[in-house]
Amino acid sequence: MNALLSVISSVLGFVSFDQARFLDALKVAGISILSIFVVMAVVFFAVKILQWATNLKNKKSEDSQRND
Amino acid sequence: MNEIFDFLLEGVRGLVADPKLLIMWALGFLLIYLGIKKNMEPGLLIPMGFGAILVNLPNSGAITQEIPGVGQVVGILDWLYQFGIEGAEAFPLLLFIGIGAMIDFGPLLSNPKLMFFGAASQLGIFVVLIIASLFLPLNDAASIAIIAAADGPTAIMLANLFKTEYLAPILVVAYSYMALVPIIQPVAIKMVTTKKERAIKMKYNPQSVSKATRILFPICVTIIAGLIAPISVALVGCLMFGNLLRECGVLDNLSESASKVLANLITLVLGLSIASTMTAEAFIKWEFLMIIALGLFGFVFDTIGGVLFAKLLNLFLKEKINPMVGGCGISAFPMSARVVQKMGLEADPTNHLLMHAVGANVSGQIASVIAGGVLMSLIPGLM
Repeated sequence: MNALLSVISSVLGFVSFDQARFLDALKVAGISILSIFVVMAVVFFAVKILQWATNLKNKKSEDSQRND
Repeated sequence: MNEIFDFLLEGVRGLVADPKLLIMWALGFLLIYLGIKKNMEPGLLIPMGFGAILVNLPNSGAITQEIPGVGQVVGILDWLYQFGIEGAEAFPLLLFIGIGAMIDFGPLLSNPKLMFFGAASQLGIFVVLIIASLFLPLNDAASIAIIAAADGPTAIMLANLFKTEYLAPILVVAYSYMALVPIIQPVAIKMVTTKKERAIKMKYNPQSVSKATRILFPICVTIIAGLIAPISVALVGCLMFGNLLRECGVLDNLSESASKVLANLITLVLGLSIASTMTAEAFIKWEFLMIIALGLFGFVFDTIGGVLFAKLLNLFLKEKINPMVGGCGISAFPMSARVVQKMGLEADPTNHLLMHAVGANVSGQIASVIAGGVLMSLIPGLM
């Protein structure tokens, strides 16, 4: 990692390369991607639970109609 | 006599003294041309183009000016910007209510695994964030990166919140690329797929989505996103409130007003408000070229991220997913879904992918808003 950062520093010597800022950006990117997947996964399971609950309710009403 | 000439030629002298104004006029004409002739996001590009000409007239009264003997006179475009964007980001948030009322999440709810493509297709945002951080402070880097969300209101909110000096160029580039999705995405998809992969057929077995699911979905998404990234709740909440209006079944008039009247009205004033920042001194910088390049990079990596994620899933799935559907997880709705439908038919004339693509496409709408919210939570602590 340090070797990579020193290569980037030397290549980008003409601009204001800030190693700490670059590492912060990497950290933000990592946390963000993970967070988005976590949110979407929780929404996915919430939808699955809603679908399961709806199916269960429909089945119960069908059963009760059949019994009647 | 000289005094009369001086008075009449004051504007022309201002133009000669600052030729950059003419460049902004040219940009204004270009935006109007693209909006009218090429039908590229005309609702925003035409007001922005006209506004760009308006604010770059010498001593334009459309923006705030110091008038000798009178003092500061607030221009209408500056006022609109301060009121609708700078204040509490009211315009983009209200626009989200309208967008929420337009979106049918049905295709996504009948196949919820498409949600993960929305997440994967945000890759471009973070690739651009990392690259831009090499040159620019994090607030500017994140504001530029959000172009890749392909989501105008989110881009406006972030760029404004992070107080970037590149707000106007970012928005021009973001809306231009959104209109260019039908050109950018096929190239990016062909870079990472074979014709055989593009011809993969997907069965469409729509499960009926109950009304309760449709009503509870926007409420659940708001609560989940709000608990994980609380600052995103304004964005997600407005989008989902609009959708609740649509799905609840008892507010059809409000839903119609939100999706048509409100959305049109806000779009109209939004374009003009953004134009107030399109002054020559704020716009003509070498960084504009960098923003164009980074924005393109972001859109390409969004698409590639979604496609590669679909390929990864295919390693484990019995019923294969057409990888192009993964590339639809961006917020540009419904252009991206149409692109994939067209490419599917090109690969195999019997390959209809539209409903899967639409599902992934609307998941991109949710994921882009969450991506914006997560950046809004993380970046301020590092600024």
